[in-house]
Amino acid sequence: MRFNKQIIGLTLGIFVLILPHFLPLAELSPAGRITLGIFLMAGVFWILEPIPIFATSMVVILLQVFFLSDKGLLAEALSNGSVEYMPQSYKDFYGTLASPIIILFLGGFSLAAAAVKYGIDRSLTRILLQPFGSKPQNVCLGLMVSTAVLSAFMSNTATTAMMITVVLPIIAQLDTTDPFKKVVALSIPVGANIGGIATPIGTPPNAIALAALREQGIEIAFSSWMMLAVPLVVVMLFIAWRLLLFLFPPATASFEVKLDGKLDKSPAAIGACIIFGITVLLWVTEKIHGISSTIIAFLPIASLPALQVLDKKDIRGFSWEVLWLVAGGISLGLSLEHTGLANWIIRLVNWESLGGFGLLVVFGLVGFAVANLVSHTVSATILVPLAVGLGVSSIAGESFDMQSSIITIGIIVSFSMILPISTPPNAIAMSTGMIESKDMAKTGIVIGIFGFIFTLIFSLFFWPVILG
Amino acid sequence: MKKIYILCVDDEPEVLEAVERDIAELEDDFPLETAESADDARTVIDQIYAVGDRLGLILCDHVMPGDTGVELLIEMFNDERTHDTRRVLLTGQAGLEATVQAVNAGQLNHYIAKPWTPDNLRQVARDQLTEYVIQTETDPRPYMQQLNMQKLAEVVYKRGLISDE
Amino acid sequence: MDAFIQSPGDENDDLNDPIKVQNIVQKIRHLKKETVSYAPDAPIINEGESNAFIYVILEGSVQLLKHGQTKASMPVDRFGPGDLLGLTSFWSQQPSFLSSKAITAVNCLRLRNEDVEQLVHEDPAFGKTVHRIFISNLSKRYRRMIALNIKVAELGNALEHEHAQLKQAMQDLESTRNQLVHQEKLATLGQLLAGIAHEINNPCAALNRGVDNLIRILPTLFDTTHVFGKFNQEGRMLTAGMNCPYWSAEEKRSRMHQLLEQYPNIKRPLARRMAQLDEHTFRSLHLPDHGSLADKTIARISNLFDFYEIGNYLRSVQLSSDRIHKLVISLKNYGKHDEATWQMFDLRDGIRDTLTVLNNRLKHYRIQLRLDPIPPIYGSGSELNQVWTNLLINAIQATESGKTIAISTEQTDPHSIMIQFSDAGTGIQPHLLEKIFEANFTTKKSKSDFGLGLGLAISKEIIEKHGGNIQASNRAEGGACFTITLPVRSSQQSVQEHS
Repeated sequence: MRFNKQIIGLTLGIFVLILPHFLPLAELSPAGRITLGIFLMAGVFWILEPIPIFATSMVVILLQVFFLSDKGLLAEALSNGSVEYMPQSYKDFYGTLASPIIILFLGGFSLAAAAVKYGIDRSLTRILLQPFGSKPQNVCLGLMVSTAVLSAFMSNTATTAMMITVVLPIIAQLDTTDPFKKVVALSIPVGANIGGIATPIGTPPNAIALAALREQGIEIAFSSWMMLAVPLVVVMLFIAWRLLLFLFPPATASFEVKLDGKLDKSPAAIGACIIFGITVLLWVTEKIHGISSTIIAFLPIASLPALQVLDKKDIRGFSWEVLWLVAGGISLGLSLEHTGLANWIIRLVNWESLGGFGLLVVFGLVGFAVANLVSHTVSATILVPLAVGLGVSSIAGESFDMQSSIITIGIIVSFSMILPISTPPNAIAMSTGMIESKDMAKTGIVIGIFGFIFTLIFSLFFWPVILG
Repeated sequence: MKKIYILCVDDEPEVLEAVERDIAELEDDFPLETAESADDARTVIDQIYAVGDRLGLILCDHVMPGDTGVELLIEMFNDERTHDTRRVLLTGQAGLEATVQAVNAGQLNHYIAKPWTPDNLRQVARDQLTEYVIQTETDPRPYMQQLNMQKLAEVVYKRGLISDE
Repeated sequence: MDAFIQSPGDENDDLNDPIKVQNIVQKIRHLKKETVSYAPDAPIINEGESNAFIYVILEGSVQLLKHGQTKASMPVDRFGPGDLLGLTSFWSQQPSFLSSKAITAVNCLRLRNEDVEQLVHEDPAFGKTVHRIFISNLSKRYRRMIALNIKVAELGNALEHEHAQLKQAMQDLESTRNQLVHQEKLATLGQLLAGIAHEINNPCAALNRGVDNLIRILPTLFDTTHVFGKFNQEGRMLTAGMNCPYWSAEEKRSRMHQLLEQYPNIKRPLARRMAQLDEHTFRSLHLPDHGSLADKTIARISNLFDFYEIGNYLRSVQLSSDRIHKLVISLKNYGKHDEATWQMFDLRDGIRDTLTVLNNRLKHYRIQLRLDPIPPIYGSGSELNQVWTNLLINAIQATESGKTIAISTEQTDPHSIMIQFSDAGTGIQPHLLEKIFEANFTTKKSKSDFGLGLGLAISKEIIEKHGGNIQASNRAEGGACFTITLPVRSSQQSVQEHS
């Protein structure tokens, strides 16, 4: 079966890659056609996954360099054919692999790797959980908050994997029929997905949004993002908490949450903590000292290996494929902009009737829906450039705030957690066997709806104030 | 996905039936095959690997007509295909010498003396299969519910092979 | 001995003649040489000191001692009247080699160098006499020493001889002791076995009774002619379970896989059970040829298999309780160890009992039995069982698994029966064919087979006690063969011979 799916995916992808060149697409430049082909192929590959999604991202860059760059096969033809497109320097495409946003994430990865290596994530969990006591309701909140805090700085998936090992003993204590098991098992992915929104480095879709903004010359400070996102995160965590307890009321009155483990006090561990603290501190005070968070990010990248907190094995263990995935997305976004394809796509639809708000709703809905089925990053990759296109072309009109819209789309996709395939934290939680798909779906739909609504509310009323 | 098999080898049919009953709940994920001698076991192993599945655990008696259980286990340890298979002696009659040989030359993983308790057998089977999965599978999640969940969850966490999308 | 010491020339030994001694003494006395007296135990000459006198013993006896390096002193020689003391140390001017001590009160003449010279000077013939006396004394001493050495050597030989005899006696004693210990162990084991067999017997009988009745009653519960007619199929399954055919593991597997292919949605445990059904019973389930089965159908089949399994278990319990019963009987028979009760019996029963008891170890070998009819003999079944056990265990240890061990009995003539134990093992080295029956002979590292076999020596003893004999030989095809012949006697004859 899998074999067939692969063949279908590959053939379809290659088909749509070359399709645009044979269709009568008026007003679309040759470069635009190429980009459209790549865009469609990437979409097919990302959704049907005949090849891994990060591989698709690399194929995107490959095709761009080969066919859209100044050193590519068609460089001359393109520059002669149309004045609209100057073949982009191939270094721009390659450069996405080390774009400042990528570096920012790399900094986050290095901190996360150090935290995991020395059990700092576990120790932090222990500290965070303690004040929540032993009543099931509070334990649930405690779990969600701890997971959210950690996933704001670490990958949602790694946080989930770690927290699952923490909560399994808790679940083992419970009666098999106690609905609280589901609460515990669900609070982790929910907390992780929501928590990832809180900081720029929390989850890759944030990177897509930030990179797109950067491309438009808009730089959002680390602390600014947090000011936008954290209130939303708090609100959503609260809602999710009440929701879970409502859907699955606990049967026990109280139980013990015993987390054992020793604090690693070796010099390397202490070094890791210090660097972690310094980096985060510098990040959140970005506005004060004015140094870009992407520059701060290189501090841990350099100091952690230098101080031998991380060795080369740890560096090999970074999720480089996530960076590649994001880089491909950013790169694709570049071409969507520069070849005018984004514009062209937008002109296919009559957006004016919708107005700024309507546009936001549409994009939000589409993003939310797609992200439930496909990778969140991919959803953001597909939609954010279109939003940028809208904003740049001013088709949408005055009421369309491009900045807010981009951030909105980037954040809404993180609320897509209806299915196990929606996001890896969901898949990990499912593999414990504590929850059924319908439990996850119930939770995911309600959180998704609330997340969607509140993000829009924030986006319309709260963020413009902060962003000024 | 390649199936992971359990093989039980004993010349007494009652033993095979008893083992089958005791670990029935594992059979949904880990199908069981039985054999009555070392030669029979070899046939089964060949059949399993011929279709691309693998043998995760062998529960083997020692005293049997033909080659002994310990001989079979040592042979399996040295066979490339079954090198990682978890080897358990399930016997009432292996003397010290044979057991020492099984440990030293065959890297025996566990010894259960007959008569066994069903709970112990299940636990040992689960633990051994957990080790097998950890050693041979990059992503142990499909097996988490049937085996030692805590241990496999820890492996998922530490390996860090699943990433954000 | 004395003849040896006396040598020709001694006849002229003046000093043996008391009168002559007197003459010489007088002569010397007349030189105003003093006689010296020594109390008993008084030292005369001390070892290691220089000595300037010659002592002529007139009365009493003197002990010569050697101190050597140890404090203890070793007596060397004894001198009496007429012997000369201090000769060697006097003439050689070396420190005295020996000590001399008076044993009794001793009177002796003490001569100094000058005295001797003066004596000689005055009477040259005396000088010759003196010389002769000196030499004779010395040679007497020498001869005495040789005689002593010879005596020592002879004593040494005698000692060695006795030592060897003692050693042998010790060994004999030890082997007797071991035999006694073995006997004791066996007696205890016999009692243990009898006790255990007795204990097991009752629950075993109850088990048998219970199962037989269960098997009789249960199927009737599901009989079609019974009021509860709807149980027909269940009854059929139960009976099928009791008569479940034997499939080899390979057959079972292939049938199971076939069923899994035919009905893709059944689980493996169910397929495994279905694979055990015979054709007739399988058809009675009325299943479609292939395809997914409805949940209801699967539930019904699973339920039916509960009855099938009951049948399985009934049969299994029956077979097992049967096995226990037979084992118990064999154990009881095997371990009967009562020396007083010799009786007439067919030793083939004993061989069979022994095979049952040893079944666990024998199952790796091909056992060939040819137990032709033989008349009963008079003797002790349990003692002979020990012999069979010993021979079988030897065969097991010498033979590779899978090879053959053969036991046969036959009546070779009206008065004797022959029993043979042969194996396809390593055989016995030809020069050891007789030695192996000797006590303490073993080629194995000593592992105590507790009570199960006392070695060939005791086996031979037992056979001989029964009036027969046992011989070992090698088979042409390889392996050993033990042939035992026993006489056929009526109990009358045997009683006479046995007592």
